Amino acid sequence: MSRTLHAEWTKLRTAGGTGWLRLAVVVLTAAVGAATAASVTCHVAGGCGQDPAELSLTGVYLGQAVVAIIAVLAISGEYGAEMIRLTFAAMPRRFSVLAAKAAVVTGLVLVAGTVASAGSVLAGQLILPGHGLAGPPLSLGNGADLRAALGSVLYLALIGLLALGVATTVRNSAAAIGIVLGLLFLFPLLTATVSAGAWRRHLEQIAPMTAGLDVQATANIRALPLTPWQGLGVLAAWATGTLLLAGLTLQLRDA
Amino acid sequence: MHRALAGNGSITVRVTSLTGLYSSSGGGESATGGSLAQNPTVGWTPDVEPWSKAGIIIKASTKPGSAYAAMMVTGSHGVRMQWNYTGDIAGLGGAPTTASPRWLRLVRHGGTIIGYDSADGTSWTKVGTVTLTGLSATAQAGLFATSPAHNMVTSQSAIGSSGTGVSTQDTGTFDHLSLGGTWPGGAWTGADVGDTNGPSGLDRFRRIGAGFAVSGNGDIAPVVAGTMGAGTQIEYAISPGSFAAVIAAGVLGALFITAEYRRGLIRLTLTASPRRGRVLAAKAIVIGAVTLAAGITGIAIALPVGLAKLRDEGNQILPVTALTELRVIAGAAALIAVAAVLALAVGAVLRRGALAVTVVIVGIVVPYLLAITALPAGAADWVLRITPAAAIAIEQSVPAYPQVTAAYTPMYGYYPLAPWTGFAVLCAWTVAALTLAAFLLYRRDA
Repeated sequence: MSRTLHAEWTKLRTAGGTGWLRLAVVVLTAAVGAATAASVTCHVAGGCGQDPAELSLTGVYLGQAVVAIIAVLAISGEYGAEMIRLTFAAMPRRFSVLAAKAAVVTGLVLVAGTVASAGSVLAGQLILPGHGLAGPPLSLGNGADLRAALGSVLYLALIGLLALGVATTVRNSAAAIGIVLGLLFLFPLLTATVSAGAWRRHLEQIAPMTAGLDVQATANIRALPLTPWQGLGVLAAWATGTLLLAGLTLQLRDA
Repeated sequence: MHRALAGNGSITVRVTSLTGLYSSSGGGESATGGSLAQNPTVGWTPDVEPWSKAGIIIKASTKPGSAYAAMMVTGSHGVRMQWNYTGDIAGLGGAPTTASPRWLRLVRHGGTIIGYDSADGTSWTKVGTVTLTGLSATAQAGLFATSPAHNMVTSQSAIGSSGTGVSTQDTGTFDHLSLGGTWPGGAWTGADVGDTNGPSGLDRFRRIGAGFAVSGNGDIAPVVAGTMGAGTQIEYAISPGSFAAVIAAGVLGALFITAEYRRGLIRLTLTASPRRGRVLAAKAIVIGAVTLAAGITGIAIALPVGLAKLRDEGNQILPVTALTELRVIAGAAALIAVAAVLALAVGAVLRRGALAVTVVIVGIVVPYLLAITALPAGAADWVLRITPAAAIAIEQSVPAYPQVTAAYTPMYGYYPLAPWTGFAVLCAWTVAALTLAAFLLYRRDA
């Protein structure tokens, strides 16, 4: 397994554009978070119910798209260049190859995600004071804020796994990214047009992005359809499901 | 307060003050007028809602929805003449006081009603003339006061909006009430018209010496969408589906060029037709036409199906003209087609399918999603002015009425740009991307 891991790490590290994409995760996440924090205003005494942690981490909406690209290219790049046959000739245990890819993608996203999340929180701490938000200032010493920041890192890693699973099943990179981003973004758009409360709640509970981002909530948690960690659990279930499907198709299909 | 009056005539009154109260208890998440009625009398602070209205009205009947014309003073928009919910003309500016009162007059000639205002009761200025259909010989005339719920969108987040609706009420003080023409004097009746959600113990109609004080809340206005409104726009029936189609069109458009690069087919293509700009133009026309045709078909089928489903769920669909409905269908389809062309152009620039699809989705879908969920209202408006997502404005079917208080934010389907202007923003991005693609196509080796 360690040789498989080493091979996959070399491929991911040296693939064209990985460095730029890692940088894009960090810069986009932190920049959008900072811009959102800067645009917040509240002139009502006692605050307007805004969530400082969630606002600062808004950039995850964009960062996850870049994470999805990294994960999709990790597998569909091989299919595009037909290197996948060479890979499976050298390492015939296909499930191990998928596991190794999942491990290196997760490692890479965890590092980039940690920098992105820390950068967003730092930007929020610098920008948000003076914008009229009530409650204690954003601080990683606070349990809820720390959970939001760490949860966002795990969220990005799970998005990477979800995208890897979809891309392994679909193979074509453009179609894979379309499906992944469709899964993430179309659920909340559908939710926004459903007026019936029960249906809306169910949709929010099963949508990978909406449920997963519950982990960022630090205010008004009781109004959420799931607790923050349950929400991240829903995303983990999606990622596990697509990876299992990917493993199954890898075993059953010709490369 | 009102009374039935037959034939032609006029009603004149002097307004000496308009005062108001805000409920300081506020509302909860997405409060509606109904839920506010549960704590009726606690905590009111004096303040006048800018669109509080008090004045005189001639109305076909006291039923909500019947034709009317009215002259009124408002909280901070001066004297207005309004009719049939959406009509609105400005008269004298300023608020009425005892020292500087406002005189209002409505004159009926058959189906025509003329509104006048005056600062002194002797020199009158005509504000407007309107023709009402469905006004029978005997109409209701009288004094009215309304005060809409004051709407504050305080924040939005991924879990929903916490727009706060504050119930308000107002009181107009009137004197010198007189009737002219064939309308005789007589007794006035006080009545609540429509749903009310104010303090139940309020005296709605009191005599003060020779004058009257009339209090009220709510609004005489068209139904709008949003926290304070009750309507659903037709585009809600197609909105999620049209975004799914935008994503699919983005994948198709990007693959249309990146697949050629991946397989090396592009070299053959450019050898066969060496004028590269023409190749790009031909590709753009083909992918645009195909997705436009598919989009129109899909949306023309989805709209009636979606509307029927929304009606089944008990939503009140805001009515639109056939022309507007046509614009929504054609516009949503054009949005899909231009998204495909944008993806083609970005694909020609980046040559990587996954990157091109992501750029298009992040350009069109994500800004819209952020605008209706995570972003504060001001930032949401800016995002929908400058990003390609501005094109969503093409699907807005009902206008924002400046004279009606409501939450006119992207979350409730009101966008900062006019429909075609918003669409033009997407087209500008697409033209820019196509130009860059053509330039790079000539500059680079295939």
